[in-house]
Amino acid sequence: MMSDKRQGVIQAVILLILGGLSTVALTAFPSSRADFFSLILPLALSFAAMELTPLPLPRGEQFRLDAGVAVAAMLLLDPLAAGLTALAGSALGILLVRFGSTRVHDLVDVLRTGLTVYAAASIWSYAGLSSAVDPVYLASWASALGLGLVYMALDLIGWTILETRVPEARTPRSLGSLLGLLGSVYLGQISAGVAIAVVQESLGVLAILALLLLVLIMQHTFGLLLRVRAAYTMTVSALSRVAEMSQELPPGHGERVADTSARIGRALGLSPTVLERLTLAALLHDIGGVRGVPNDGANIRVAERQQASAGATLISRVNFLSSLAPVIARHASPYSEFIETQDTDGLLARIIHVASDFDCLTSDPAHDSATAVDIMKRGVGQEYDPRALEAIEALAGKRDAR
Amino acid sequence: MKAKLYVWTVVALAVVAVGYAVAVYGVTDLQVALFLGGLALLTEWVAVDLPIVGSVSLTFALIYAAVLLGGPVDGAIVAVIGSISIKDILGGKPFLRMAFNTGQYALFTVAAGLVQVALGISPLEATPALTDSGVHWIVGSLAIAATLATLNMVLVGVVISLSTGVSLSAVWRESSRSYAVSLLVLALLGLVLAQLIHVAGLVGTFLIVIPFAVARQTFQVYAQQTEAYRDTVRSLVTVLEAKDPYTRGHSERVAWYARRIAEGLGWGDQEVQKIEWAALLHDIGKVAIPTATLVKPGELTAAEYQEVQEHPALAVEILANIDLLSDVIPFVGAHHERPDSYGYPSGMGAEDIPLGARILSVADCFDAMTSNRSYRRARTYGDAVRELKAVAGTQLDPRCVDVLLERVDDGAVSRLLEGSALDDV
Repeated sequence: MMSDKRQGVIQAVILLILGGLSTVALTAFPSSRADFFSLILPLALSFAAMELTPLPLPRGEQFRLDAGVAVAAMLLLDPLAAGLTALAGSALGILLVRFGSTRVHDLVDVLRTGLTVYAAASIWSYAGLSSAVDPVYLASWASALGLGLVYMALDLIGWTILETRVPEARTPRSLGSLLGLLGSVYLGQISAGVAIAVVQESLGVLAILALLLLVLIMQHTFGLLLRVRAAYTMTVSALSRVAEMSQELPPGHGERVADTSARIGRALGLSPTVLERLTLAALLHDIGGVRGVPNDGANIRVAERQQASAGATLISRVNFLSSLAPVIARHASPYSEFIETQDTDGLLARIIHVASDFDCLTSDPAHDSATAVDIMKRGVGQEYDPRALEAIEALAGKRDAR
Repeated sequence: MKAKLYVWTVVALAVVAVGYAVAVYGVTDLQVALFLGGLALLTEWVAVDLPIVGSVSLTFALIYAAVLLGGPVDGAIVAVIGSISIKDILGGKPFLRMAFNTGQYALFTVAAGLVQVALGISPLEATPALTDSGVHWIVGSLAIAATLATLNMVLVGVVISLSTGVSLSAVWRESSRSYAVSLLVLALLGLVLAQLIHVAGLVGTFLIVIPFAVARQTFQVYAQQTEAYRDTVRSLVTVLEAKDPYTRGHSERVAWYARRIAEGLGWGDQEVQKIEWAALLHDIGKVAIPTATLVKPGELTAAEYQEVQEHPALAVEILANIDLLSDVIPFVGAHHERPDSYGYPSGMGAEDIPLGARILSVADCFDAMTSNRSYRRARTYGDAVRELKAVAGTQLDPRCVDVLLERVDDGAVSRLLEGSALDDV
């Protein structure tokens, strides 16, 4: 505990030094177009405000969406000044959000923000395009929006890479799903950033204030939406925990099965929408009742299948979840029964079957992942879907290597 | 009668004011005015209440921009076009009401336009922005916005007061705070919009319209998803309750009673929604208790009783991670606490029990008394009322009991038990 705290303090100090140095750099070498008090300071504070209002993504990650402020900064300042402003602002924001409990991850993220702003602006000026918006020319507008898109690409890629490095990382989010989730808000922010850059020259600080307001309105509405979405998934997770409580299942079984199923599904190339269905169905697969560790006895299998259909009946009566019933109904059925069918629901049921048995086996301390896969391989083609088993073998190999 | 006279006066004044403005000042830039008017018509047509901006429509920002750019007549064009609501015409709203709305828009816009002309405020040219003339400019543009807002509040406030009999100050107190914040936001947007058009031409408006369209779209999806989520939780609770035939429909009925109590205590809309959530979920912890215990006909053994007593804590554990419900969880966790501190799980005293939990507790007990249970038959309404009054102050919060008895009568209870009054929950 003690060392954790000390580490937090050290990181806070590093942040302070980073922020301080960038501020000194900004004041000592003012760029030709930038005024410290009417431009750099408000922009830096806006960056800090963005750190204070991150978007909660459905799987518990947080995304700091600062595109509006970043675009305005890049259009109004030269690349270096913009990068330093972003760095100083985010450092301040992070310090305010979690003083004393900063993580290495936060430090890296602050650096990433500054670097992304600097890189996007540099790429743009290197390409010979002016970053200043000339209100009269459409071409200059298009290039301003283009600058926003470059920033978006760098930001999303950077975030995805950084997120996979977090030790407690869940299933990494793909770039495509991130874009699908945030695309529209991102574009709205870019557009607001360009608008403000155009009027900043005449409105000064008022323009930055308006930018902050516009961005916060978007951020707020989007945050509301994300909260409801998260509540949906969390409710279903809660339900899976209820199922575990009333049965003798390893705690966390439902959530782990959902996680493994999603990984298998991604390896098999399922689309994001189908993956979402898979995750929900996997969370709910045991809602019907008792479930045991797979062994050679036939009785447990029979009981499992009865529970599966009980669960399906229950879910079929719940609005908006009822479409998951066919998946839940068949999640305990052996692969051999699916030979004739080609539907997606069948595939999802088979993935959950493999993931669930894998989790039951590995919850027993006697088995590591490799042994579990070996045991399951005896049933390949009969009990288990060969493709799903192959995917889990690859995943297990990766996990052991880590 | 007074109201009608007032409405006609406003309409007549508006016609005179617009006529005067046209005669004296004329149109500055018809193209811009028509464009902004069209935009206003469009936003009015697709209007949804946004958070922060609230129910005051974007039209306000557009009118403000038009006044800044072109003075009274340009503003009036936007105001007149923007106040015509296609929805109202299709919905058959009385003509006089629509005429009043358009009239008051035109009137406050022309007034603001006169202020603009008198102070000589127009969009800023370029750097340096906020020097001596900048202060004059900021004060001036604030004065224009204030004229718009104040006149709007007066004109509408008087008509509401006249037609409902509520005093003018009460009408304003009701709405002023949220209104002021929205207006401030919209004024700032109007300022940016005017400046954008001035510097970059009409194309510039799109840069502001895009973020708004995004926010609007997002908010609409949010509203739909909240509805869907509520539906899901509702039917989920119903399905889970089916485990115990005696409590079927219990949570929905508790939600209905709790809502009545909360409304009676003067809670706002959002707070009432929270209490409904809490009521729907208050027994979710029972899902983890064996059915045999729940439906047992006679007395429970000590061990079984303890098991049942764990259900509020279990519910808290189950719901703990759901961010959306974080305000609701304390209500659920404390719905078996008693003011005399003999409740469970923690035995806290009256002051420590959240009001929401006390409401739930009253609603829960009342439904338990008036419906059949595995261990006894339902009491009559009269018996239930007597028993509630007997335990008010010890087991239940007396104020909540009073409000419940004021607002729920015999008929409502039997309708609810038959399942027919649930529609308006």
